[in-house]
Amino acid sequence: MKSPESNSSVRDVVWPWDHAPTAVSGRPLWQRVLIQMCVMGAIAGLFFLFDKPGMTYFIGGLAVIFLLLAILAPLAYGRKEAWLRRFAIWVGSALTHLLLLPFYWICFVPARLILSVRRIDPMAREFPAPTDTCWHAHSSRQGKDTYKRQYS
Amino acid sequence: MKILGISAFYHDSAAALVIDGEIVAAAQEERFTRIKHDAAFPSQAVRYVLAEAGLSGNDLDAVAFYEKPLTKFHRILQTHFSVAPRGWRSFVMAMPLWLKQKLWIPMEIEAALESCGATREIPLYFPEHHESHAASAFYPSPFERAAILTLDGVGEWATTTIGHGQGNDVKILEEMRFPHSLGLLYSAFTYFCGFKVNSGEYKLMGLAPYGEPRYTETIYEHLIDLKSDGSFVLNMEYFEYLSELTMTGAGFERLFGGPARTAESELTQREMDLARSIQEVTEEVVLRMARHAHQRTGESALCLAGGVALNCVSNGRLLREGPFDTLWIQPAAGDAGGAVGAALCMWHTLNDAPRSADGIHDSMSGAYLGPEFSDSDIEQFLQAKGYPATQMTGAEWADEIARRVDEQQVVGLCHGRMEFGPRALGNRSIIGDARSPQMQSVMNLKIKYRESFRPFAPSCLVERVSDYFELDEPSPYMLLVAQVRPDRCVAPDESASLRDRIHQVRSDVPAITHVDYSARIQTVDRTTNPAYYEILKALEKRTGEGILINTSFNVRGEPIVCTPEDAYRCFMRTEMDALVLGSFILDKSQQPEWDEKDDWRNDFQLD
Repeated sequence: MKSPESNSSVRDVVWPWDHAPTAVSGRPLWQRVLIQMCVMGAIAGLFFLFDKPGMTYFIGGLAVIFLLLAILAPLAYGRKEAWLRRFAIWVGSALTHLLLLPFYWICFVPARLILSVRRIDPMAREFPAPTDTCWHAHSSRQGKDTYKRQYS
Repeated sequence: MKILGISAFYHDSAAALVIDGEIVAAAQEERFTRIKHDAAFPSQAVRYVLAEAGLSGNDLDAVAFYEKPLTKFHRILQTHFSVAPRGWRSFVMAMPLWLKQKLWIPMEIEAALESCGATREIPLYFPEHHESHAASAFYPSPFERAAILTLDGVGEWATTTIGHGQGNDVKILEEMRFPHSLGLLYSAFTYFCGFKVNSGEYKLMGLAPYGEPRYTETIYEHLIDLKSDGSFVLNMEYFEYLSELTMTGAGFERLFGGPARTAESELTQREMDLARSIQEVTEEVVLRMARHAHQRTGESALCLAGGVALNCVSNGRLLREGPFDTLWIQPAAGDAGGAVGAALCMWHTLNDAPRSADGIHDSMSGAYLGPEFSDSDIEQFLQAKGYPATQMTGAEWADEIARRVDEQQVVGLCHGRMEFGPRALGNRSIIGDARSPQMQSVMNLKIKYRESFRPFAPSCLVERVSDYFELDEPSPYMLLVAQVRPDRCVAPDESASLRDRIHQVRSDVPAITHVDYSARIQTVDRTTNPAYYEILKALEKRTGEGILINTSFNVRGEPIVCTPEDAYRCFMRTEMDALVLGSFILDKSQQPEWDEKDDWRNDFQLD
């Protein structure tokens, strides 16, 4: 049983057990709070411009609560941020689904109808197979440049 | 020339580094992230393979991604055009990932390389999925020329290919196309029997010997139109994978007398019979394909890759009954191996680089292509953590491990370079005494926490393989199944229940003898893994038997351990008796109490 030489770069990459855990990258708290205050202030300002004092006070009030939370209870502020992040992901995912669904019905369903009318099945689902073999000749590559393409 | 190969975004992401045609390092991302079958971009594996060679991103000459993403996207769109409106659920599920990530692979790769110090643009290449598999099968093989068969679920459009390798050239000759796929057919049965797709296929294979081929005719009659040349079409009325998020539906349920088994529920005779039936069909398809490949190429050697090539029962039958004199199977036959294949493909294609093959040795270095840790690193770790250990070297080290195995202890091994591919081959393994009638149950229930029907594989000295099995050639990657020699077997009690059959003593090496008297064999030779060979030699000297149980060093749902720290954690969580970390041997009874706040079983999703 022969021991290998220590490969410090491999150890540092794969097994950095003696290093302090790398700090989670991201902006410091004060910057995050400042950005949030600016965004909420801008939204409140827009409501004020459009003569919606109720919404202005509501957004402004929320901004003050968040600011106090950040100063007095940074941990609770962190939890609020995590919750908002999850909410944002959920909203993003819901929006994606809402956009994709009509797209699917507008593009794919008519395309399927056209394929059906023209009796074309890209999936070749006829069963049993109408031919003696289901092997297809492989189209051979045309030079090294074909490897630079992401398509055949 | 330094080429980085990458496979990602389906399952088992991996990175490999090839320098002037030599595979220097390769590893799956799951080993670093500790997420089984991790499909994410293999950032950590890329960092590791570069570190192994002492390179930064700037030193690379090329990067090869294992498939053509836009052709694959085209296939997915065509599929949805063909099944609309039924496929809307899978469309809505699949598209966000494509739009966010899979269509921007060059950017993903650039970002990963930037994090490894690349400041310039590295040329990026995209061989086809099955071309990568074929390259991974042929280029590292010992053959100067060979037929190549690649079988998996699906790549871009191809699901199976027949190719020909000669010198430094690999040509794909024929292919079968999606949705007609042997891999997906097997996965459909995996799903129907309550196991996870892309993960539980080997469980289905292990379950097959408990059943009868009662459904084989039904499968031929209703599900598959198999031609004499091994090609086939599937009857898509019974499969749902084109349009839904499941593999099978109501048609399948009607055909096989009831709904799919739910995960973790009790296994019934139906699942065992289904497993046996689909295994027989798979073997027949592979045999016919191999005969066709033999006719088409006229070669006497065959190279195999793709997920179906991990079906070692089928490989064993191919070796016994097939037209080829010899086989070589890529040890990382699944998608992870595509990273190696892509890099080798580009090395030989871009440079027209010559390739030498001696007909005996392959160039996979025994699949020991992952990280290893020095004794000084391990010693520092053990001292810092206060874990008592005894250091031993040479024969003393091997003798001590052999003694423990002989005394019915279960020993974890974490030494040398980590294996690349799904099998643990002695460097990240749990070993035990193959002669013990209790060892299979002990290991399944107290160490691995997995289903009791699952068999264990043996590692044996290469020179003694024919003493134990009906096999007279090396099987270094545990990819061949053969029968235990009849003179070692005990007649079965046919009337016993499944539970009793599992625990029956079937041979004088009962712990590795499956219910059908077969075993998935790993042969160990002195050159490829001298340390593991010495353990087997020491055991042989002590007991007369150069064979032991070898199972992967992990618990159910966990990726195989990578670092000594992973190994120690797994050791303390289970009922293993001893742990080998490099030249250090740790005894469980001497370790400080292991205290975890939460139930660690929640860390791993059951596979």
